[in-house]
Amino acid sequence: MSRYVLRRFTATLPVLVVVSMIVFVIMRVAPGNVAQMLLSGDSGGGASPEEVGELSRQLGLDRPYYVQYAAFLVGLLRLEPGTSLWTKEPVLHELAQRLPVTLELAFLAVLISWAIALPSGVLSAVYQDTWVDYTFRVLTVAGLSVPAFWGGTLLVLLLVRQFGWMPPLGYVSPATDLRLNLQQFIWPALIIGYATAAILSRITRSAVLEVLREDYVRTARAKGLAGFTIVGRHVLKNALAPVVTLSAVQMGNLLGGSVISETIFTLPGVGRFLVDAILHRDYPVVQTIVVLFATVVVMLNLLTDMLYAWFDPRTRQT
Amino acid sequence: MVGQNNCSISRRRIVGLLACGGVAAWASHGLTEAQTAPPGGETPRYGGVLTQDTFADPPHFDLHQSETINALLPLSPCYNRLVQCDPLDVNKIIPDLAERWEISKDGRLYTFHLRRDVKFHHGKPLLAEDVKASWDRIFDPPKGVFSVRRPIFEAISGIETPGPYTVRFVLKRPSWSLLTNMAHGWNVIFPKDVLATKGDMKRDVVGTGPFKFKQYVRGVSLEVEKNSEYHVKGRPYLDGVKTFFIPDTNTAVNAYIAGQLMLHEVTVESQADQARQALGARGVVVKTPQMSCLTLEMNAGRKPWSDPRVRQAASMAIDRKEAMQVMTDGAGEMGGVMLPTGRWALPLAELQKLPGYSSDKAAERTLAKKLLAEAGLANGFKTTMTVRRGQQYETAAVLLRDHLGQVGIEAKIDVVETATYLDRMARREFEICGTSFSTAVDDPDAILGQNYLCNAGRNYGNMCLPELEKLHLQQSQIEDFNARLPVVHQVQHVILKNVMKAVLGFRVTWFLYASSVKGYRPQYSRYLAETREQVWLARA
Repeated sequence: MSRYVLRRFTATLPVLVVVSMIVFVIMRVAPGNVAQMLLSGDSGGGASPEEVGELSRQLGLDRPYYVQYAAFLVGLLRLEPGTSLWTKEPVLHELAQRLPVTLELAFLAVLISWAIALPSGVLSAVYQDTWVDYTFRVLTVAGLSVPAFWGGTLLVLLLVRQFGWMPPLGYVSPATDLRLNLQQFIWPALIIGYATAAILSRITRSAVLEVLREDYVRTARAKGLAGFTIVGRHVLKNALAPVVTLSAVQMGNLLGGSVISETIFTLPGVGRFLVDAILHRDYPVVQTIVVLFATVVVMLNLLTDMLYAWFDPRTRQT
Repeated sequence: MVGQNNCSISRRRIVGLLACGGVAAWASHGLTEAQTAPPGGETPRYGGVLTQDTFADPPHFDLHQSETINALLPLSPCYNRLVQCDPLDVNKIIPDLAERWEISKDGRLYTFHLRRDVKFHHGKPLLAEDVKASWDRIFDPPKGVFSVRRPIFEAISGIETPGPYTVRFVLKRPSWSLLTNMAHGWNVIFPKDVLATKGDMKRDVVGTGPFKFKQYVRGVSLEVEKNSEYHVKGRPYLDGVKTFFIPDTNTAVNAYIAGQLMLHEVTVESQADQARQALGARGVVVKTPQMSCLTLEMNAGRKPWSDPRVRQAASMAIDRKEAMQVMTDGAGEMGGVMLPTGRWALPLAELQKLPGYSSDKAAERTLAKKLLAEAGLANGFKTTMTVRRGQQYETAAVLLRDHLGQVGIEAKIDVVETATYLDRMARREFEICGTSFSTAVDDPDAILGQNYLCNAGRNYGNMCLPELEKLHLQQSQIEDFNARLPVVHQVQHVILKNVMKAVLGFRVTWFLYASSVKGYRPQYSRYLAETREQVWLARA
C-alpha cells in the first residue's frame, strides 16, 4: 500500500509542474502590460515607453522568462510565492484574507444544497411519477436553468423593493458579529445552494430509485417494515455514495470562488480576487492561486485513489 | 467662525488693486465663503459616517502617480492642496494650505505663504520643504516616479523655499492657468520625511486633511476618520467617511435605495429614476454635465487615417444627437473640446460650422462621401475599431459602426479587455478606437496638455500640429479672460478642423444623495478635491 501511495504521489508532481508552466505561459502570452497599467491606472494616460520599461525592470519583468519561472517555482517550494505587483503585499497574506469568505460561502451553500436536495430527491423517487415527483423535477430543472447572476440580482431587487433592505455591504467575520455575518452570507448561499441542489437532487433521485429496486429492499418490505424505516435505514444509506462524491466535487468547485455571487453581494472572496488579478495582470497572484487550487484538486484525487485502493486492493495493481 | 487668516484672490480684484495702487506684488485678502459658512444657511450637526462608493479598489495610495477616481474619491478627505476650487463655485480659486499668495507683475513668480497651524497626521508641522518635496515630484519627478499630470505644469522651472512658511514657484513663462490646475484634487501635499523614507506614498496615507486614514480592506472598503486636530476650526462635521468598492452598478443603486450608501453617482437616467421613485423626498437627484466625453480616436500614424479628409469624413458621418440619445438617454451635451456648459466652449452656432457638427446630417454625410472620394476612397474602405470592454464603450462602438458605414467606412469591431486596450493605446497599435476621457477642470491648459499637445499622454491619434502648439503657448500666457477667449476658440477650431479626436458628446452624471446629507454640492468634474470637509448629516 505504501509503495502504491508513493507511486501515485510521485505521479502528481509532474501534473503540478505542468499546471504551473501553463499558467505562467498563458499570463505572459496574454496581451497587456502590467507596468503600463500600474503607471496609468485603468483610465489610460501618458506613461512613456521609458517609464514603462523602468517599472518593468523594477518589477523584474525584464528578466528572461525561464529565470522568472524558476524564481516562481523556488518561491512556491519555499511557500513564499512572491508579492502582488499591485499591492506589494505577500500573495499568501492576501489570499488568507479572502479564503475564509469563500470557505464560509461554499460551506453554507453545500449545507443548503443538502437540505434541499436530500428530501426532494428521496420524495421524488419514493413518489415516482406522481405530482410530488413532477413538482420537484420542475423545481430542480428551474434550479439548473436559472443563472446565478439573474437569480442573485432578482433576489436583491426583491429585498430592496419590497422590504427596503439588502444584505449589509462588505464583509463581517462571524467571530465579530455572527448575526450580521449571516445576513450577508445567507442570500448568496441560498442562490448557489439552490443551483447546486438541483443537480444533487436529481442524482439522489436516481440513486434512491436504483436502491429501491434492490432485493434487500423488497425483503424489508416483505418483512412488513414501515416505508419510512426502509428509506431512512436501508435505502438512503446505500444511495448516498454518489451524492457525497458529487458534493465533494461541488465543494471543490465552490472553493475556486463564485465570482458572480461575490460581485452581486459585495463579498471579497477568492473568485473576485482571482478575476481582478487576471484583469490587472497580477502575475504572482494568478499563478499562486491557480497552482494552489490545482494542488487541492490533485490532492483530493489522490485521496480518492487511495481510498479506492484501500477498499479494493485490485486497483493497486493497475 | 473659522480661518481669520484665510484669503482669496480673484483676477478682477488684482486688476483693481493694480489700477488703484500700482503695486508690484499682487495679493488679495478676505474670508473664503467655503470655509466660513456652510451652504444652505442651516446649522450643521456633528457626527455620523458618510457612506459612498466607487467601482474598484485603488491600485495604490499615491495620488501624484494616480489617474483613477478609485484612488481620489476615498483618499481625498485625507489631504489638502496649496489652493483649491471653491466647492460652491469651481471657477473660483480659494486658499487651502496657502493662506495667501502673490504673483509677480510678469506672471513668472508665484509666492505662496503657508498657514502656520497645519500639522500632518503623523504629528509633524507643515513646512515649505514639504510643499517643495511634493511639487518637485509633480513637475519634475525623480526616476521611478510617474507624474501623470506633468505636461500641464511644463511652465514651472523650479521651486524655492525662501522661508519655512514661504514657497516660491518660478516659471519659464507666464501660465495663467497655473492656480486652476494646482487646485486639481490630485495635487496634494505629502510630508517630506515620509517621501524621503518610503520613496513614494503607494502604501501610506499621511496628509493634513480633515480626515485621517483608518482602515482599508481590499475588495470591501476604505475608511477615514475625523482628524480632531484639523487646522480649520470646527471642521470636519462628520466622524468619518467610508468608501465601499462596488463593481456592479445595480448593486450600488440598490445599496443606495436600501440606505446603505448615502451618496452615489449614475450615468444612466433610468437608474436615477429608480432611485427617485423608490426614495421620494428621502433622496435628492442632481443632474450635472461632466467634463468627460466619449470619443472616436483615429490613428494618424496609419493610413488612410493620416489624411485629414478621411478623419473629417468620419466626424461628419457621426450623428452626435443620436449618439447622445443612445449613450445618455438624450441627456448628454454636444460639444467639441471644452465643457459645453463652461465658459471656454465654442458657441453652438460656431460649432455647427465645423466638420461633424452640422444639424443637416444628410447633407454632411454626402459631403463626407465626397471627401472620401477626393482622398481616393470613393468606394469606401475597411478598418478595425478597437473597443474597450464595457457596456458604454461597446454600445458606442455599435452606434459608430452604423454611422461610419453610412459613408462607406466599414468598421470591424474588436472588443478587448482593459489591459489589452491600454497596451494597444500606449503603443498606438490601433486604427480607430472608441474610448473616453475626463479632465479635472474645464481649463484650456489642462485639456490641451493632457489630450491634444504633441507630448500629451492621451494624444492617441499621434498628431502633432505646430499651429496648435503655438496657439497653446499664446493662450496660456494671456491673463485677461476676454483677451484669452478668442485664442482658445481659435485653438478649438484647429483641433476640430483637423479632427484630432471625434468627440461624440459630453456625459451627464446624476448625483444621488440622501436628503440627510447637507453641505454637498455636485461638481462638473469628479476629479476636484472632494474632501467632505463641509459635509454634515442631518437627522434622518
